[in-house]
Amino acid sequence: MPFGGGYFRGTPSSTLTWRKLADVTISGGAVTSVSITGLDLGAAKTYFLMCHLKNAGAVQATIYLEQNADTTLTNYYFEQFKADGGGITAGRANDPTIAVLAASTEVNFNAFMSQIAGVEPRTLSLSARAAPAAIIAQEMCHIHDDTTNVTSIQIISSVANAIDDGSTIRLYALD
Amino acid sequence: MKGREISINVNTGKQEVVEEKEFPDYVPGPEPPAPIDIEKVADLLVGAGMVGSKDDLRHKKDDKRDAI
Repeated sequence: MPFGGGYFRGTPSSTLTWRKLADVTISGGAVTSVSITGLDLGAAKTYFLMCHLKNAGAVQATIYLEQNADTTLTNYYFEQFKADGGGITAGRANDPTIAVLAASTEVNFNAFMSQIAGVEPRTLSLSARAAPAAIIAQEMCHIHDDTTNVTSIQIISSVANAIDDGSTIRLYALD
Repeated sequence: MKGREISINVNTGKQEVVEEKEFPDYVPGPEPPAPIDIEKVADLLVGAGMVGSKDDLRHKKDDKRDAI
């Protein structure tokens, strides 16, 4: 009796809804960073970050997800799968990469972020990157090695002002 | 490096733009290595005399799968 014998203890009539916290469309010139402050990930428990970024230049940029303005790359880890038409590769590094913005094209990435009291925030991102004929699927697991409650996030390009006008960044909380 | 930043506070709705913020000079790590080229591996095995031919590495046709 998987649902009838006391295993399911939720309240069937309760619902969770996505609440929009931020909705940014870049305008007035390309940016290096978008910072969203006033957050409380510990209280919300789950955030959903939806980004569609356009590269303003002809140089590939790495997109970092930093939290609480911690700019020390080695305080973060990520693990990834990448499929590029020729094969699937995996890799791990000691930095906050959440996506890759190829030269003169776009990336879409959607990331679920969660944190419970006293432990590190964890994020899972799925992205569609690169030019149409060279499409790459990428999955990134991201951990900030810091148990402090997340009160702000920064989406940062490794290349100055690579995030072009028209790029969109939306953040929702699940309440 | 210097760059432009947009900052938004979700509680107040206040949005600020900093035109010349200083950021660390980020040096991204390498991407994962290129996938293994299984055909080249097969050639190496044949060249080293470990298998007679690349066909020896293939599954039988009724397996509907190829090792290479």
